Amino acid sequence: MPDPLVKLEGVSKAFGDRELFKNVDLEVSMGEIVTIVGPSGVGKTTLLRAIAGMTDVEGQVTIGGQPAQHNGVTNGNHRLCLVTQHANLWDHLSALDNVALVRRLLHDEPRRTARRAAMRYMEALEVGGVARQYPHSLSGGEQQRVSLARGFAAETPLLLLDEVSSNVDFRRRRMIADALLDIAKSGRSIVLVTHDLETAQLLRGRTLRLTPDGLDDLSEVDTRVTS
Amino acid sequence: MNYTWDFTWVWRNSDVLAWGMLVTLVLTLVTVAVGAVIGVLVAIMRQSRLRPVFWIARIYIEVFRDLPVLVVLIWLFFCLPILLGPNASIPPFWVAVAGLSLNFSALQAEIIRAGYEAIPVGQLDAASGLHFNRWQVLRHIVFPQTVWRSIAPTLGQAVNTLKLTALASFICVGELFYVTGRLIQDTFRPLEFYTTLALLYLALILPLAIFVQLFEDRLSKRFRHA
Repeated sequence: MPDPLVKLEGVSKAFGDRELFKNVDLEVSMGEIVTIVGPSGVGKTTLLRAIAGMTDVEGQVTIGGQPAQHNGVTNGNHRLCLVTQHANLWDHLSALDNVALVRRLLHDEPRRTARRAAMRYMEALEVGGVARQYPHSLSGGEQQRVSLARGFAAETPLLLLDEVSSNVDFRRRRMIADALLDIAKSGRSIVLVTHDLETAQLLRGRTLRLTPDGLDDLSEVDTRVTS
Repeated sequence: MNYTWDFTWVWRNSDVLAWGMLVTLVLTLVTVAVGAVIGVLVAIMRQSRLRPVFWIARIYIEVFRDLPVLVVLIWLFFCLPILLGPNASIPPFWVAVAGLSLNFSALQAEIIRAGYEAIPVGQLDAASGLHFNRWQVLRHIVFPQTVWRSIAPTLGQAVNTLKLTALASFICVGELFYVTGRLIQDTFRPLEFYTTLALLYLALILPLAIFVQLFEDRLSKRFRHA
């Protein structure tokens, strides 16, 4: 069996005296979709940031066999990308250039090629029509899909998604789920955090519930619901 | 009031007033150029993690932002030559550039700092999530946004500097206010000349002020999250 792409062993996080979660163990294989659900405030986003190497935790986090560094923006690490809960589009760039910048910087593409690639991702998420607009003129849902297109454009082996479908209607949620399934088919792994079981069911992957004591597997429950 | 207005005096001396306007404009442009460069350097020093560098910038900003510009001009014009020695001679125009630039650069440094700090943390977080390296974040996100957010207040400060150039008349720089005073001494027509002076300042400042306002409105739409 090949080594997992993501491996968490005994991961714990506390803020001062407040323990958020402890002893989290997780393995994610190549091409696998894992959905982590749980109530607000349980630490889902923190866990995702720990996998991204953007927050310090106790325990071991490895990506492709190498430790996830707490690197923030200090060194390039193109094994993974995290799409944050809030769209956080860059105000000075059009929607298209928000996505194209990722292609230019992570894939060294010239501007024109990067824009063409960016447009493909935007059209797949039905935001091609707003490509020339600036973030301030987009709706919340459009901003979120542009942000997701930015994540797709990174084309990293591991895609970490934090509540990326919270602002979209059911039809578009389904569209996003289909796009994620296509990504998984191409061999890339996805870890999605949400408090919405509906999205988890659409993705048909492994569903885990984060609790203060670790991760519980809910996949059997989901199978019953979806069948 | 039985004063008889006679603007022919103004017309006859229009070449002198035009020269004064030109000096005012050049003094403003040179001050803004010099002050902007120093302001950027001070703003960078203000963000330094080296405490002495940080404190030098902090003290510079506080001193030259708080001191009245006229006090700085008078000190540079009368006191500096004494300290530099009997042979020291600095042309009044350059003393005015130095004094006004000290004030402009201190304010410019604060404008740049405010522009930098107005970038929402979430936008840097998004870049971090995509694992851009530090240089990429600076070059493609921090720098352009800081510049965009600083342009409107910088132009506003340039307009203020144009108004402040009138203080250079105290150290005999032949700008608009100074030459107007000289013409009044020669012609005894203060009403005509001071009225013309006000209109000329308005002619210089109003278009700039309107441009700054339009620019600010446009930027505030684009950066409404800030």
